[in-house]
Amino acid sequence: MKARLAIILCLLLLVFASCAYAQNEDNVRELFYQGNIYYSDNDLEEAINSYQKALNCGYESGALYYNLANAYFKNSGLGKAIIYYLRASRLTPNDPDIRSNLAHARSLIQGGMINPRSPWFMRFFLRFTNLFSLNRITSIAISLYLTLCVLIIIGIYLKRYRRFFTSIDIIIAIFLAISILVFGVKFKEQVIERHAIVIKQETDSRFEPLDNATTFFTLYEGEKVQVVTSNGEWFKIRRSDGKQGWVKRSDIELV
Amino acid sequence: MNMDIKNNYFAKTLLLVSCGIFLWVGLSLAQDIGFETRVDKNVSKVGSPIKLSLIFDGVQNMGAVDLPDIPHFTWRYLGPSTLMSMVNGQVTKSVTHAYLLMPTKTGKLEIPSLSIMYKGKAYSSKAIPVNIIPASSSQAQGQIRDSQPQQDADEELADKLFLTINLSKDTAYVNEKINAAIKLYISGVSIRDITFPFIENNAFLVDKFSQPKQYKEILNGITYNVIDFSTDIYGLYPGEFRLKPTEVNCNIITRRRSNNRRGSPFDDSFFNSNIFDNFFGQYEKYPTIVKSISVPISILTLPEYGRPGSFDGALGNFNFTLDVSPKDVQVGDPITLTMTVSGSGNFNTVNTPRLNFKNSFKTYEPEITQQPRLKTFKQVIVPRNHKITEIPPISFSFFNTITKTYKTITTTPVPIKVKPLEKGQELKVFEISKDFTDRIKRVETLGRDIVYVKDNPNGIYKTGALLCKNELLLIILFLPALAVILVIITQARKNYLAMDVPYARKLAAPRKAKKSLANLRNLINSKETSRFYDAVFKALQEYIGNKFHLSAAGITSDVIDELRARGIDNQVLDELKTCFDMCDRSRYAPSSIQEEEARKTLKMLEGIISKIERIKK
Repeated sequence: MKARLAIILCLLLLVFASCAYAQNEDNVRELFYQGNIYYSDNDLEEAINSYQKALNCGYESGALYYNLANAYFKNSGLGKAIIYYLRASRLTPNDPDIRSNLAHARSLIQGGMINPRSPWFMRFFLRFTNLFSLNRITSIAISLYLTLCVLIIIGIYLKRYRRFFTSIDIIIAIFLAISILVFGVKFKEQVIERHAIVIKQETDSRFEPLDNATTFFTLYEGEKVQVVTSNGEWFKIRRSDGKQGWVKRSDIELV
Repeated sequence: MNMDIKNNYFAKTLLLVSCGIFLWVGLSLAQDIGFETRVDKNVSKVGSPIKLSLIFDGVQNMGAVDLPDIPHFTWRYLGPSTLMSMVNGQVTKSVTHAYLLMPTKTGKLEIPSLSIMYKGKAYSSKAIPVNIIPASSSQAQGQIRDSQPQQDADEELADKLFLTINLSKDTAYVNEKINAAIKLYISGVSIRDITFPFIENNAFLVDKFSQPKQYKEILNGITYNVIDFSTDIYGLYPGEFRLKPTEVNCNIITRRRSNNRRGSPFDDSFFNSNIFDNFFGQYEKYPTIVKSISVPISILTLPEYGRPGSFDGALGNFNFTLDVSPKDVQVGDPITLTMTVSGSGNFNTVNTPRLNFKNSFKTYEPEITQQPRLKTFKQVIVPRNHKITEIPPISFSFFNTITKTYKTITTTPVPIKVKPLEKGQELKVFEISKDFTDRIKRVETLGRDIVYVKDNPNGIYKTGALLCKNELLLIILFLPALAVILVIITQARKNYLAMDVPYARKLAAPRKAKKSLANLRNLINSKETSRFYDAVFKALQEYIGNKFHLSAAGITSDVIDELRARGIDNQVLDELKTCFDMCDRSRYAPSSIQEEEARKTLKMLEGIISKIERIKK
């Protein structure tokens, strides 16, 4: 009797949870469309408000980040626009619109992007990793891993086809190794390393986390930096050319 | 003696240092200072103050100056502010004394030139004209901005935001380059979304605007932020024209009031700021078109007199050079003529110089590249016969807009060597299709902007829901690997046992014995004691056969000698022999078996197996 009651309660909980999820998703959609209407009316501040409210519901989508980035871009918020284009590209890395807008936004960074040229194979590999979102490469790696396990077991029992299964196992193992490598790169980039974008038009990177410290170099709105550590109101950052300095927390925003 | 020398050296050094310090101080004191006056606006109303700043550059210890009586103004001192900056190791310092001037009369007034004395030297500033307009009735109630008449507002805006256009010349020839410097002056207003200037005129061709420059400029005592748009325009027809006012579209940004009152877009927050506006106000845009004045300009036709035959409309002051490569070729081989026109002028009017080669060369469409002060024509020509010895002279004519005369530059003949075709070779001169040349000619300049927003949110996920951070999934992922390991171990063991039969039998012996003992126990319990000793004998045969890898069928009590040789304990062997004897007796002299006896035999058998199992080897 008690077990039956527990099952009924669990089922009810599941139904309520799915209803709440659907309700929240509907809210997100409604705010998204509302934001689009404001955007088309050129009321960019209201469009930004609507998209932000949709994000505050605890849900995200590539299109939502993309539209918010567009609104910021049109509203002279280059730094914020780049942040949201990057977030959008994490969810939908293959979207050509996101890539195009991000490239255009980056082209407007004052003084241009500082991008040390890496070897061709690194550029090729990084371009390859950019084809996958973190969740997608995780799914691919898990699928390959499960397939490999099943084929190994079948190959052990079907001795007659052992050579055939070994060949397939090797191929799948190679793909699995590549997918794990890509996963590692994406995981490092999105989870381990903390990247940030400069949201102020211009900010000084100093030698020490002090207001009166000597300026080492100047960062411009939209530039991407890696956060190394923090100290109160200051972040220690590393620019793509390897130079490190301290900038105020309020001048940059984590991606 | 030594002390004297040391003292002397010290005194000399001290003297030199002292002289140096005095010289430096003297030079510093003798240094000139800068003095100028600025106002925050040139147009104001009666009762609305103007901020006058007296700026002293190069000095910071300059005290406040008592202003003389300024006609139609009353003044009040606001206070000083100092500035010190270091650029490239050079220190600059200044002090600014601010005053409030309250106009008491309307009309075009003037803040007169001010003179000061500093270190015995006189300095004076320039006079600043100001326009004082009448105040409205509500102004007296201190509500200047709310009920400001539109006309006043426009006048005040015109002072803060205006556009000027300056042409490099007011008379030019058709197609002659005229530089138009269009400057947008901004002071005291915040503007955004500035468009490039729009010059509407059918009689002129307007070139592409260059990247605007931004700098500060002081005009009538006011510091303006200037956006300098520069372009070139070209007259298309001769005649007297007025260049229509140039327009720039922009949005003036102002704060929206919390009580929904709308101020003019250029409200002065200095006197009317409300702290709550900063918290609850929002920005509001006022679309505005800023226009320049109309400018007269005369466009002349080019003179007919002295016009050379090779003139193709080029205007400016140019130089013309020719380069030929290669100079040693075979009939049918291509030669590239690089004709370069450099200098200043309208390069759009510079066309490919005419080549009068008749039939000696096959010519192709030239490849044209244009840079700011350079235009290059790369012309491929193919010699048709080996009798050609030179590239004939090429002429380029242009109208020099400085000297106002036509000029022709003719190159000298360039000697070349053309070898005849070898025997068996044929002259092949390729024609380029018109489509191909059309495609080359068409150079499109594409615009660039962001792609429009998306219509659908598509996949919506929980924020930050990463599959790789799902702990349950990570735990579950261990199971397949565990299964693979277990299968591999099991299979390996199975293979090993298949290879080593004695070991496999030895390993299976206790398990099988256990089964046989259970069977014996069942026989006792079911009172089927007649078959008991048969079963005991079989169990012993099977166990010993498996354990010592012997053929089970041939195992009798004779096996004891063999087991002794394998080092089995004598006591165990004795028990085994007793057991075999009991079996033989029962099998060959059948008699009824008591349950108790059967249990005793079973126990003995269990003991034998147990003892043999305990033997290590």
